[in-house]
Amino acid sequence: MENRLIKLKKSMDQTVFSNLNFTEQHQNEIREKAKNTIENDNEITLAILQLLVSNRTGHELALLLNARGVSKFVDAEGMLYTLLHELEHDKCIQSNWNESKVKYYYLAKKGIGILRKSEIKNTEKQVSLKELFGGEA
Amino acid sequence: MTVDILGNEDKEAVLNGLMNTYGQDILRLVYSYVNDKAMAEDLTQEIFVKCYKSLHTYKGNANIKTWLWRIAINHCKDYLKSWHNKYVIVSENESTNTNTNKEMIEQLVIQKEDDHQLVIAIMNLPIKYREVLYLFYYENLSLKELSVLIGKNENTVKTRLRRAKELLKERLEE
Repeated sequence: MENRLIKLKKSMDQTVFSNLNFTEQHQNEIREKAKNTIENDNEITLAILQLLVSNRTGHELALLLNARGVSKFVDAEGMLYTLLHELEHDKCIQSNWNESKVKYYYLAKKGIGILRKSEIKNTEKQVSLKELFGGEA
Repeated sequence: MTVDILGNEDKEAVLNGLMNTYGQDILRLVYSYVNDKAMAEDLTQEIFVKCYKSLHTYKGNANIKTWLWRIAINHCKDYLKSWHNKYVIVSENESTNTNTNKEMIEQLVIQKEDDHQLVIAIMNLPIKYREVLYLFYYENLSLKELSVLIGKNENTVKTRLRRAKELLKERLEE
């Protein structure tokens, strides 16, 4: 048994691993995903502010954030509400209950200011600025 | 090396370096856990993305290879334990496994090599035995390294290796 196991590398390389290759394409996909991942808290806050250019519910936000690569709220939506609460407390955003008792969040003046500053720093994100200021950015 | 202060471009360079150096090894390691090519490719992708995201947590205490291997092994185990794996893809997994086995058996018939039978037997062992055999014999790691990677003490690793070989012997003799 020992003798056969010592040759395990060769045995596996010739069988199960024979057409298993980590290709250039795999690398490219990984690079793409890694770049699109937003993890850092500031970036998440910024992403929330950008999304709140329109009124949105917490659940909508969670879905949209996930679409942007922020996956940390997927199984932990509660964390998102904590963050929203803090933002509201800091007067960056405001919220309102609509007729069907759904809570909507939207940007407050301070939030708009933060967003505008960040947009100046980061020209890549001009799309949402345009959305916010009717294309005048 | 401290990755703490790295900017995004540097992080990308580290990611590229890791993929070039260890990509193939990680893909094989993952395959040894999941026994399915497509799933091994998906999980490998997730593992490298996870590494990229966690680069700031790498403090240089451990060898970067050890750090990467631990992330990979934990990720595979989380996947195997997940609800998704247990209840959603079971049938698909089984069918791919049978396919692989079929292909391998064909190869076996053609080449008539005992070694291939050994590989099939290993791939059908429970994870805790398969992983020690793989890390010890395929990757040539020491008992100490195994102990770090799978988070069990060396005696446990030794016991598992011994038991794995017993099981393997029984199955090959059947």
